[in-house]
Amino acid sequence: MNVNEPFLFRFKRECLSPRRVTHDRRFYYDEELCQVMTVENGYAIPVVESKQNNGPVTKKSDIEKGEDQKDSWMWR
Amino acid sequence: MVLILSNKWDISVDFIVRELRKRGEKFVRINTEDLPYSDCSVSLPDFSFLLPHGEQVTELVGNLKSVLFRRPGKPFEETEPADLSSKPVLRYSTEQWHAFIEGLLSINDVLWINHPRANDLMECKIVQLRKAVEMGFRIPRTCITSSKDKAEKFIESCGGCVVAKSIYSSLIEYSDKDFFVFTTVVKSLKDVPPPEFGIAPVIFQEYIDGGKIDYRVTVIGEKVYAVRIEFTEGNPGVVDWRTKKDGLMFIPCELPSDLRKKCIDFVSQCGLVFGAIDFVQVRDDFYFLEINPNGEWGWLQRRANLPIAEAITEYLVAGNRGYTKCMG
Repeated sequence: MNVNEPFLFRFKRECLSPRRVTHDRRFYYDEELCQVMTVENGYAIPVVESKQNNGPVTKKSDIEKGEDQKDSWMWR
Repeated sequence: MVLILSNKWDISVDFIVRELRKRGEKFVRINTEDLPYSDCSVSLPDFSFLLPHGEQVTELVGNLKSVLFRRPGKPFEETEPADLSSKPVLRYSTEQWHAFIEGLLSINDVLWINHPRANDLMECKIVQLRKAVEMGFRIPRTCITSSKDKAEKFIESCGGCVVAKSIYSSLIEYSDKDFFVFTTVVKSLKDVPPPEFGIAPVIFQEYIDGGKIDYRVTVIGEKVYAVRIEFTEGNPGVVDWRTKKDGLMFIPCELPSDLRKKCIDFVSQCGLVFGAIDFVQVRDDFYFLEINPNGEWGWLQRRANLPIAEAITEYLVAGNRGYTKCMG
């Protein structure tokens, strides 16, 4: 019998977040401040200070194995 | 000095940066995906470890007291696919940079949150569960197998209903899309070809139901932050709450004191400073499900106002001696 996929692949679900790079231009990494920034009311602020509920969806494919974007709950 | 080894898009780290800056603590953040574009060097026998950041170069030997090691980016991670080198070159580059970073472990008297070796080891669910049992946690009955026959017998012994999950990463990467395997209820393996279990072993666990409540417990040294995960519209019988994209509440709570103490001891015995532990409670019993050595926590800082960044920063600033003193 030719089997190409392991059992658990039967239950796989497509990831909703981007793969490696975020292309959302509302957010950028500031090399000086060492933080991801966004612009609100004309001012650049660290995204962790933002009161908005639509923060960046960060990359998923990293070395951490098993957490499924819990941090997206920051923005919900 | 505090060294942060991470990647640009790990927002949890930004909370730490904010805290370090608030305290006026000297730190360097290296997003390791950028290392291929930097001039790093180590010299021996007169030991020197130089890491550049921006326009500056920092000598780590003699200056480093702690490292936040959290999801370091891979070389060329942000490079457009069309501009990437061949796979063998990428693999070679990744392995060489990995070894270079591991060289930091040779700098003495440094607190690692977390130590890379302990991180790697504790990603293994068998190791976690074994350690949890040793430490006296209650765990669901578990069968990890590559045998369909064994799995079927285990399901039968559990009354015909178990959950299945992966033994390691649940992330599946194809060239165009990523997939994830959540914890899934399995009632029968009829029509499943046995070789599917040979490709990759599977964790089967008894299904803990009966009005279970999920908990996420974040441990940093001797500090413990627990939240109870509740649904805004009652308990819809969700097996894995991560599959719910809306309608969740994270309620800060206190654990029973013996469980709290056990969590602190467990994380310490695992060789970790930071650990995010998942429990389910049924009636008065708490079942250990797993520990995430690199677990995300920014959502708890922001949504539940838990001072996790403050706690991590406190340990980073205290360094190895402060941590050892604190943990007795």
